[in-house]
Amino acid sequence: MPSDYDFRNKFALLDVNILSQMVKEKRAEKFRPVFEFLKENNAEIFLTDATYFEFTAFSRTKKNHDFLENWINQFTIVTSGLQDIKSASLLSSYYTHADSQLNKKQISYCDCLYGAQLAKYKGLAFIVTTDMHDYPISLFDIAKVMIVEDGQKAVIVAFITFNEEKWKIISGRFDKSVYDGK
Amino acid sequence: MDDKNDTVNIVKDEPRRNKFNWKNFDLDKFFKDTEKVGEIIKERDSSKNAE
Repeated sequence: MPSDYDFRNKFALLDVNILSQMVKEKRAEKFRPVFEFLKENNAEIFLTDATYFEFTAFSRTKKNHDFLENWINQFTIVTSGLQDIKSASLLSSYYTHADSQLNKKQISYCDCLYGAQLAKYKGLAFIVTTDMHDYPISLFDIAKVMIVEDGQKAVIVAFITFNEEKWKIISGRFDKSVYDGK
Repeated sequence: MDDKNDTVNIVKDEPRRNKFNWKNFDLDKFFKDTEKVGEIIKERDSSKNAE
């Protein structure tokens, strides 16, 4: 696991799953060390529009919707254009190309959008996730992990970074790949 | 990576800065609000599942 990644002044992409973990069972406070680490490094937190939808959609009342919207609007929201969606689609193909045994149910469209954002901003950004399996190490690095303890439970928070060398290898192989006849 | 292969949108610019700023971000309030968000989402998801 590389540990020389410089987190200072970078963009921290908060995966939807870390927010989902935080809102469960009133345990947000347990994640304070993660946010202190981001603060120490002056990381700018941002989210994708898919995460915005995930948290604000299907509200039963306007009051609830407004509360959720104000909460999530504290962060920078990046909107996905057609090129980002195309990138996410291609990225999912890289995943499958790199690992034919990949469980496609493991990785969602939202995960691929995050991966595409990471590839887009290369060394400028990193993903903070509670499921490192969403970002295959065939393409990405795990630069840091933190353990969030909550009683008998432990949540592993992984900091995922872009690896240009891995990227070149997989994308190069993919570009040369042909129909396999199956 | 040449242009032909660079179909995954790799750029050198950055996301828009300064929307989020730690100086204006109250961590204590954020964690407190996050607990409230949890309550709203729990209620929302339970009603969605009941339908």
